[in-house]
Amino acid sequence: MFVQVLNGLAFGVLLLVLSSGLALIFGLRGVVNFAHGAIYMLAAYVAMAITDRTSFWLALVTVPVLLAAAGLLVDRFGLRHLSGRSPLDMVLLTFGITFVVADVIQTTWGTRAHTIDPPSALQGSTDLGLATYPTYRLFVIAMGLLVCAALIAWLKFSRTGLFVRAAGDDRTTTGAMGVNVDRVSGTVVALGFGLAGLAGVLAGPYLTLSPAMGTEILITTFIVVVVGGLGSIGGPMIAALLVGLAHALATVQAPTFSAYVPYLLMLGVLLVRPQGIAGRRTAL
Amino acid sequence: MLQLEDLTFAYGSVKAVNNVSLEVTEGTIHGLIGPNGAGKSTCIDLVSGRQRPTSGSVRFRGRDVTRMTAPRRRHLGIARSFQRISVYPELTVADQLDVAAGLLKEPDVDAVVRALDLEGCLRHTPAEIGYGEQRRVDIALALIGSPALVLLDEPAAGLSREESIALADHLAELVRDRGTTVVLVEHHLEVVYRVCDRLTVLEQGAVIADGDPQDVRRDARVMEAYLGRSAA
Amino acid sequence: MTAANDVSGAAGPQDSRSQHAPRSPGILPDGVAATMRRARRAARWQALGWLALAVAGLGAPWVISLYQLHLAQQAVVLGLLALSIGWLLRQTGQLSFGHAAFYGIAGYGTAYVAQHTALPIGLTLVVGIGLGTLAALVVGLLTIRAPGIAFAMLTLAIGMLVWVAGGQMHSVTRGADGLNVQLEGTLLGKDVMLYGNPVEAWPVVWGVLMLTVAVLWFLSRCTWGRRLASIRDNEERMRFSGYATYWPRVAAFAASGLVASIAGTLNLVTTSFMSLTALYWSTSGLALIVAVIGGVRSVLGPPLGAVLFVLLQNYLAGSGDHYQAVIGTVLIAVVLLAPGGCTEILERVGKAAASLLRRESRTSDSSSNRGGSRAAT
Repeated sequence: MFVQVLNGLAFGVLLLVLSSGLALIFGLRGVVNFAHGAIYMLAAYVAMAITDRTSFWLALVTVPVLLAAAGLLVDRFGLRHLSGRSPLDMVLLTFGITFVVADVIQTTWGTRAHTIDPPSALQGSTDLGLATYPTYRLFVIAMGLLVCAALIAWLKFSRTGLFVRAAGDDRTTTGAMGVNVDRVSGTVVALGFGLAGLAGVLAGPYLTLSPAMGTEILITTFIVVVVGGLGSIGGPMIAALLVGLAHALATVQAPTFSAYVPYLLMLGVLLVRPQGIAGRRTAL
Repeated sequence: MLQLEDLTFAYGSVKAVNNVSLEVTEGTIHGLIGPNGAGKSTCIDLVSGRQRPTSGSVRFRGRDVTRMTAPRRRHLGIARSFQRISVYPELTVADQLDVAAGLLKEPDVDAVVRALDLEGCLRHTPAEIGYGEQRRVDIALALIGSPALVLLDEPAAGLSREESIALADHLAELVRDRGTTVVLVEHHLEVVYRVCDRLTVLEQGAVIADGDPQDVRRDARVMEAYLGRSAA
Repeated sequence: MTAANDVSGAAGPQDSRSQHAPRSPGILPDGVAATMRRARRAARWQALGWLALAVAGLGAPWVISLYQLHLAQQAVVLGLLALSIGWLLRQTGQLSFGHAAFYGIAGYGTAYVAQHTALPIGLTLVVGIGLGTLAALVVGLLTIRAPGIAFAMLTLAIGMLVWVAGGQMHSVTRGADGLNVQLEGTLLGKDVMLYGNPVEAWPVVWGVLMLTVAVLWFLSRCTWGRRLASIRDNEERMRFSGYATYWPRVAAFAASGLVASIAGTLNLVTTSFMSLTALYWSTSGLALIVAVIGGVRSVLGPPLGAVLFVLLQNYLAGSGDHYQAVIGTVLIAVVLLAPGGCTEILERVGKAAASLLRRESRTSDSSSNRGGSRAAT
């Protein structure tokens, strides 16, 4: 049971990092990044390539930065041109990116599954008293929580963070107050992409790499965001851990059933509270 | 014809509307004024069905409509316009009026078009016409189907003085010709005093004065709370 | 072609959109009814265009090769699926990433009924399509209240739920191996197995597409369709015009699911094969992309996009199958540069050509007034 909770936590933390990035971009731009899963997948594969040649630690540092740079470009040459148009156009744009990334990965690395070995310092297991547990997963949990704490602090105390929260609350008013969304949007989209990249690198040695991994995690992340409440940042954080735990427990308790668990959670929330745990009701 | 009884609406701990009771008489223009955030628009939302009150009730022609959906209230005869102009951005004016007329069984939509002087923009979409015309389209959408009660939420906002006065006279004419009852939320006091038969003043969600416009005008609390500041 | 293109509920004559400020109040003693009548007259030309295209398309087997006809058939199936998604987007403003579910359920449902019951083939197809539509109805009931983007996310998630379920229901779907189906019976006077041959199937395949195009075109223009477009534009305002918006939107979603189901069953009849890919998100995604590239403002846009895609895929097949990257890039370009898709581009080209022709004729009429006529255009 203890191990299952830790498993849930490890997976939940990945979802946490991913859904925070998604929620940030949504809060500012009003758009859901459908390329989030593809970015995560790309990060995992690039991390694999770097790990094979040099070291995992280098990948952990460089890959999120590279993807943040990609995010900056997507914002500058894509999303910014679409502000003022329907948010669905931005969805389509990010969806187009998904197709391109999927193709690049399939042609470069093929369709078979790959794995990354954890760095030597994190191999093996650690004795936690109640049970021994793979060290790398503990590292994932620690990293994820650390990043989240940093993100919350940034949102609470920095000027940009304050602005992002305000924009998420009411985009039109913030715009009317003369604050320029475009100015911070580059930062936020880059951050979102960087977080997705970080999640991808962390997932590499822990999950299996395959061309389907992007969509699988994207769907689960979507479920997290819908359950947590679209437009909120705290709600998805709670929902991420909840979905992670539910997933881990179901994998052991009811294996044939486990694939359905996130969906059932989503449908349940949808029926009882359509706006999600912390979301606001937009249309009555 | 319209009674609000102990109506309260709370967002969390803030009471946007606090125990408001008032009565609107058939065939009158009833002004609802007060400083920003006094709860005027929320009152309109509660009567039109955009929001449900936390407590209290709304009665329309003797019927309790408190829990009724907005579309049903519209068919009963409660129509409204919006403070932030609410029209259909991609449809031509003719198209949007025609769709509404079909829904509300309006036999003579052209009368509404003439009353609001919209003949010239029928073939255009809202983006192609002026702000004042967009306002009038919004009001036209509220007038279709000859509703017994029309709730107008700051119809003169953003209009010039001349346009506002013209609009006020249109409204007065409407009440005279069709017997429509109007609840008018408005900041433009010249318009309010020009056409209103009765006035209710709200402040911080509560009624602080109610009665004949001339009496209300002289009410000390009103002068202090509202006119003292914004009419200065 | 451009004449038959505009299906917008906002039926106003196209040229009124481009000319902004200048209005001539004296010329138009307009009432609402008169303005609406004018829009309806324009529809007559579109109907004629449709008829010409429908008849011309029937002749395809005499013009193109068997292989090309085979491709055309693929394009029609993809075009129908794209049409279902595109029509929903155009009419209700909702982006569905889950239509593969209805497409697949209809296909697998038809196969299941054919294998496990003794129903006549016609009824089998109806039941299969019905199953897909029923699924759409249920999904619609659950998701339709979700605002725009949440709706897109939910439909993607539900679509993948169906894919997961499909993989687990091995006895029905045969999982990753795919399912070969032998349909039996007589359909529209022919042994149903004959529809495996594109030449035999083409009149039916083409007929189904053109009929669907016509029905959706009509639905966009009828009172109900115009109400849907109004909901898309401003749902709240519609509620305050006395229209309860929930059921009409559910019905629109179900109608769109019906078209996707027809595509799924048509695919089964013409290929006798189902694979799990039919349920995967990329099936919905591809159809959506094709619809957007073709242009959703017109009912002919999504099929046009499907034709372009099939041609592109066929062209790229020799060079290592990079169609995903290419189609993704084309989508990005279309969204950024020509949001109306190919039909918009064609429309623009048509208009430019028309104004060019007009200018030509005017300059030849009066060469002295050259500068003036250029300024006028």
